[in-house]
Amino acid sequence: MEIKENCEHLEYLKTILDSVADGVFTVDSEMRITTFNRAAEEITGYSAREAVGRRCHDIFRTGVCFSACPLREAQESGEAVVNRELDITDKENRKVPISISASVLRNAQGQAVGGVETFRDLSLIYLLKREIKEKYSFRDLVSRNPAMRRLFDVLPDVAATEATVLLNGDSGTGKELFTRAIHDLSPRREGPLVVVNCGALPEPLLESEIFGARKGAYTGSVENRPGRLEMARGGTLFLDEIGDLPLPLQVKLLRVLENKEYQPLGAKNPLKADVRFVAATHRDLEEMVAEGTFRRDLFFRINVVQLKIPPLRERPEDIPLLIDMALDRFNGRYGKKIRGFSSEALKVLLHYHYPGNVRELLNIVEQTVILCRNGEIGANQLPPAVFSPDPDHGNEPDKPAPAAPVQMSRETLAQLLARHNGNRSQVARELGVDRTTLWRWMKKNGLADA
Amino acid sequence: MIAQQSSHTVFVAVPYYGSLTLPPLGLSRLFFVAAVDTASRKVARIEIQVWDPKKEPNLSVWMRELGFSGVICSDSGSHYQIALNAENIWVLGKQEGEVAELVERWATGELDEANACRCGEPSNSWCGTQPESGIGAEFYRRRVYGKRF
Repeated sequence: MEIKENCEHLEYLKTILDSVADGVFTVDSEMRITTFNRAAEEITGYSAREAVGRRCHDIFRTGVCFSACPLREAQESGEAVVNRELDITDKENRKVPISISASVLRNAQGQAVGGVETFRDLSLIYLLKREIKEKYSFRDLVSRNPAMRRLFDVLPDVAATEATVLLNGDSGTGKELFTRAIHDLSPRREGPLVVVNCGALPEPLLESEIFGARKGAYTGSVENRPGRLEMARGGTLFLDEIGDLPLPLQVKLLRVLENKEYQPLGAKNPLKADVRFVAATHRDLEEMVAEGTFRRDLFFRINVVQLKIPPLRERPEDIPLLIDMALDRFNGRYGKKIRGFSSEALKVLLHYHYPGNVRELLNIVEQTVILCRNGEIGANQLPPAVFSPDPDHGNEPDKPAPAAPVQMSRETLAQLLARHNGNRSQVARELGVDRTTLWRWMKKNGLADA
Repeated sequence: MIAQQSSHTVFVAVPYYGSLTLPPLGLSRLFFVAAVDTASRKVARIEIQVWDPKKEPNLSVWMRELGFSGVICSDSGSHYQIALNAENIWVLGKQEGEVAELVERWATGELDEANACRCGEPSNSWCGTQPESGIGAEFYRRRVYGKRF
């Protein structure tokens, strides 16, 4: 009678396990699979008949089976492993991203007799994110901001010409990536893309760097030294931070743009310049022209096609997309499986003003991926700078909303509550805080019973 | 956060990845929120809101508290729509496109009603209640119930 009941219970248990959407399997103390539910069959491609009796590493074939097996970790530490992300290899040798949790199985005497692991297939969410990323990607650039999308739209047409392009955008907005895209789409794509940072070198060095120098042109010049103009022959020369170019060199550059000729230091004859120019600056060149620090004629020469790259603070809709892209990149680079940021951390990142733009966001993600030890990056792992309020932030309708205030005066709170007829949800919404925070402020100011 | 708006503004949410449900993780945490001026039928502003399930486990309650009128998403038939409808939040499924364009099309009644969740319609088993006010209610009066109103 008891055996029959036990058999019935086992049958119930099997039915229950088979109705669970997550994969579930158990192993004995030798890591041999003892049960394998229907979802596990679907995710791995192996039937229960094929899996049961085999060691789990033969079925799952992850990169951590012999180094950081979650089941072994749970057995050795006695602590459950929760939501760890890794890739398994299914029966058809495809990588399947999964999130797993593992615990120790004990008998009635409390002795460890094996382990149980539940796992869920993350392929769909990965696919969805990849679709969105591909939809909003252009070469190595990614954005779902309308102004950026318009730039992506015109880029192929701009690239197809020989016209000089002026990229205007704050530091870290990706001007070099735009240049790379222009070069790769241009007829000069087989040629080199050469970069020169006009603000990185003092004037004499910069001159020889751009135009080159002949042997004996200056003390210590013992051989002919090609300039970036020569190195970029047949390709594209990217003049980064052109606003920092000293006035004497602006004259020389103007000559190159007008006559397609230049003269290396110490050279007797001019050389032909066979390059397409892309210039970039974070400065307002028109203002510099008005001030007399940038030549008007050069400005008109380089300002044939101007592309303005909006700063990240003006396109917060790109932040989650860039985070996804950065997580992919840094997870791969550092061998991690961080699935994302907590909601709290995301809120902070969405309200930060990013003076360093995309470069700063990528640095934040890289830093937190390196330091994160679990599957999700929390707000407490973010660098302190991201909690600082934006000093210039207004409340204009076309700008992202302000960061939530950290405290409120009694008078202001009372006024707000009166204006919203005591509706706390509306007050909290206006302040950009949750209702708990509002309640805490009200209590502190003796307004909780209002 | 949603900035102060006039009384003629309704808020429409669009999941960041399009889909309200993200199997197997659950529900979208990131939403575009479009403030729509009911008088001009224009999108006044769009911002991003993050739902924090640790602070408010119930998405529909969170949406109600933030004053959302409806959700436009790419998936449909989700059982979660029942919960949203119960909070007077309509759901318009099977819709894909740019957020501003989607919401403007909704505001001008151009979105395909065939895919809309017909709140309050007796034949629909997975819907809750009809929105009582705002552009959402008007949408259903015009699109679902035709010229009856």
